[in-house]
Amino acid sequence: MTTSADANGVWVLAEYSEGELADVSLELASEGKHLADKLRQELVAVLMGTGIPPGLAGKFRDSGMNRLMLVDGPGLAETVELRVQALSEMIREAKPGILLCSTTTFGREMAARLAAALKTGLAPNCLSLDFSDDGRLQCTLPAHTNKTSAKVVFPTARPQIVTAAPGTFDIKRARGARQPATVNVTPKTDPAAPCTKTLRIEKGDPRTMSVEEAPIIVSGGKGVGSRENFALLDRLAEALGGVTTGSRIAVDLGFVPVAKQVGQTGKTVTPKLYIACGISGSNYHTIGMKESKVIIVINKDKSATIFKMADLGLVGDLLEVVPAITEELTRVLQASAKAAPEPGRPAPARRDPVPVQNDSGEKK
Amino acid sequence: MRILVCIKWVLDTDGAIPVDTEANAILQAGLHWTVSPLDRLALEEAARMKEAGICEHITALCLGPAPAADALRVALASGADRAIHICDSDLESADSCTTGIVLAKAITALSLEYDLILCGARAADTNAGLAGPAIAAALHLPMVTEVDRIEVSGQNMAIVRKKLEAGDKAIVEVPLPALLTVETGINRPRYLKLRAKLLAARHPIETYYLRGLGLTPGDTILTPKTKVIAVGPPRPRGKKLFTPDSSLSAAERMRQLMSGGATQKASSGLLEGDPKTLATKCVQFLKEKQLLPEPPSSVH
Repeated sequence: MTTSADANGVWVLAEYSEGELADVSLELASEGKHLADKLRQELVAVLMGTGIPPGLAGKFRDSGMNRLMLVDGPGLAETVELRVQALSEMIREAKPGILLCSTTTFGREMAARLAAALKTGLAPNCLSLDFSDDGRLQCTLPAHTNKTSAKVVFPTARPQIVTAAPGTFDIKRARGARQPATVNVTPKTDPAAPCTKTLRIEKGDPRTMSVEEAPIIVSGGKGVGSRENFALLDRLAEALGGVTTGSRIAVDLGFVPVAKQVGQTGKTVTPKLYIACGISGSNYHTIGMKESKVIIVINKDKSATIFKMADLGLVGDLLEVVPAITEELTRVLQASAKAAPEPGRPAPARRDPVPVQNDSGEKK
Repeated sequence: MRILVCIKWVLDTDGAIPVDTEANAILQAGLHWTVSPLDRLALEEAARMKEAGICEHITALCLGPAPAADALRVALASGADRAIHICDSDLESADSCTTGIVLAKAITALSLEYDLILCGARAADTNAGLAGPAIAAALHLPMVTEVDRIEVSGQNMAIVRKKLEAGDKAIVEVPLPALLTVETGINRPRYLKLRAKLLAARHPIETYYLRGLGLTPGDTILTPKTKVIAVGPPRPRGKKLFTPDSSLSAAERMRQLMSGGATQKASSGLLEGDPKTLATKCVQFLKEKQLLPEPPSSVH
């Protein structure tokens, strides 16, 4: 356990999947910059994995990072135990005062295991971070399953390990930011340590996953017209491997359950693809989906506000367009399946490069 | 096989938890306490393994103040054979990491035999999920966190299913002895029958103080790593609200507000036409953006 006197520096544990840096890492970097500036200490990002894509370093250009440590070694991508060994060794040497991780499966697990290995504490799922008068980090976080909030400090133990959920902090451009110096670190790991072995990954069934986690969303509004018509969206979502959600009006009219409402009074979603059907785009709805990566809009009304944020806007009656897309999609997919008799279209590289089971897992 | 289950006695979070905003503390009077829900799942899983004949003996451990002995009554009623309560006035400020370290010490000091240690993935109050990893680290055990299915295969191996993001699951092989932390969905804990509760009430609970575990109060490993300095009412997770750039004209700011901060994307404009053409263009667009799903695997 390092104590407060000799700890120095703010570290961010960055993460990536499918070759792309997670947005939450840049959010943490922005918050880290804020903390590091107040402490007048350096800000360091750590990226761990096996064969880290070289393009990732450039993403930190605007974050005001001082250094970027690339910890690349065999087994690091798939084995959490080795990552923890390597990083805890680095932390023991460099003694950072603060370590920021994300509240994702990756970050949550790393944070807890690191805190255990380094015999320090953990402030999970923080909502905001500030400093007390004596320069200690004060973390405000939900407690008692969000029935209360708690302010947590680390009296002496260092590093102060903090996790925060994606979307907690904003990505800000740091003033005078330059490309951080990249340092390659050879991980110190002990392969004889007790290890678990991941045999395979079962893909989640999109129909049962929560809408916040769904990578593809087909959403309907008042324009869908009826509950029966909503089945058209369900079919499109199924063909794409996604889920259906609705605007508040769609929920009020009983088209979708309230658990699938997107917007100010519902869920905030950030899928890879959001298809808005029959939604005009009032800000009560768009506030919950505007961070989606790709947005397709289908609407009869050419002047609907939501077309403004569309990457692709289709003007037409959704009752005709949506089934046509489903049909075309099925046709294209079947054609490509026939064209490639080997089922060998390589699966996209995941953070954990273990055999991916293409089947959608067990049906619940 | 022998199983240890580590449980925590927490405030029941099913009801509201009133907070004294002046004292920055919870108004404890009249609140109900319970075994942390995920720890209940760990107890249930152990009990089911015992019923299936995989496990012979279950020991429940709980670290907490004197009333936490009630948690062990629940454990005994759910099928535990032995109950160990670690209680000391010096442990009142124990945080998750310290709790894990002391539990690990207790397991060694009392020479408890085990093939599997089960914990809840996180306690309902602190939400840290650190006690389990701290025990595993102190005992040098392999560990899998957030598990929702356990299959013991043979004497020294378990195949577990770990929850990942977006509904994905990892199937993980773990050599025993090991520590697993369990997640929601692993089982539904049984209703505790009166008979089981009455039997549990008569069952002895062993209480150990720090000295009995070879620890001295004031030992450096007992220093709390984190400290809660204030408790307040829940704070909603802020939804990012759009605030327009103040350098813009009032009309432009108004327009931005009305659209929820949506800015015009550099899109290729609106497509009009008959549904067929639109569908073809849409699928083509999805293909360009690499958003098409994997082709159906019927070709196997």
